[in-house]
Amino acid sequence: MDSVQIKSKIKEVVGGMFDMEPGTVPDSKPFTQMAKYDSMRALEFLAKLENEFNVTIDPDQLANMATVEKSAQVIEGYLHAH
Amino acid sequence: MPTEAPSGETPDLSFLRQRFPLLMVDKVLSWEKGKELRILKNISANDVHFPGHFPGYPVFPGVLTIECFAQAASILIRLTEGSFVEGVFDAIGSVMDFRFLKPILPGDRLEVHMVMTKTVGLNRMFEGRGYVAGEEVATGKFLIGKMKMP
Repeated sequence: MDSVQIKSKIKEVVGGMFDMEPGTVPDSKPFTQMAKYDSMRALEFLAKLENEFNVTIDPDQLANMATVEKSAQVIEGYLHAH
Repeated sequence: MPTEAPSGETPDLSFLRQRFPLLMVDKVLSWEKGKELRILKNISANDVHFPGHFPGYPVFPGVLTIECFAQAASILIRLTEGSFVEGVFDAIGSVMDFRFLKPILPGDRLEVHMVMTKTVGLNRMFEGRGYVAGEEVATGKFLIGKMKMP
């Protein structure tokens, strides 16, 4: 899976969580600037990414996953580690 | 290894805000702080919801199965944190991938096994499995956070 596909899947997850069309989810806007984003939604985001990519993500990584782009980099790291 | 609850004893559950008929934990069977907990819920033919769910075919309501899992998670959080702030209680933030595998019926002994899988701040993620007579009847993931109650 390349980085474009990873980003696309992440946008589907984010779109589903925030009632947005995946195509309208920005690459680099911090999630914290989205309405309804809080620590609970952050944990939900982790859980959904784990399901989507079949990886186990260390919660400490959340600090490095502030945007779609940054999340994709973290996920790419996990996928390449396997 | 999980701590086995001594026979006839159970942790003090008075911190749970739920009361009859919404108290869904009869007994804590075992637990390990920060990791896992097993509880027992006896399903009685006398339960108040059975006359309506359903007349002539009593089935334990699925939403109460979810509530049972959530209360078990709440107990594990309390045993893990070891403290209790008055007016703040644990609340369901999200239920994911919940599956009902077999109907739960009057007379069943529902054992629920909750595993704490992640913690972010005061929010925690759990994976739960319910068993009747050793057979899996429900599974699901939960996010539990804190909520203020007036």
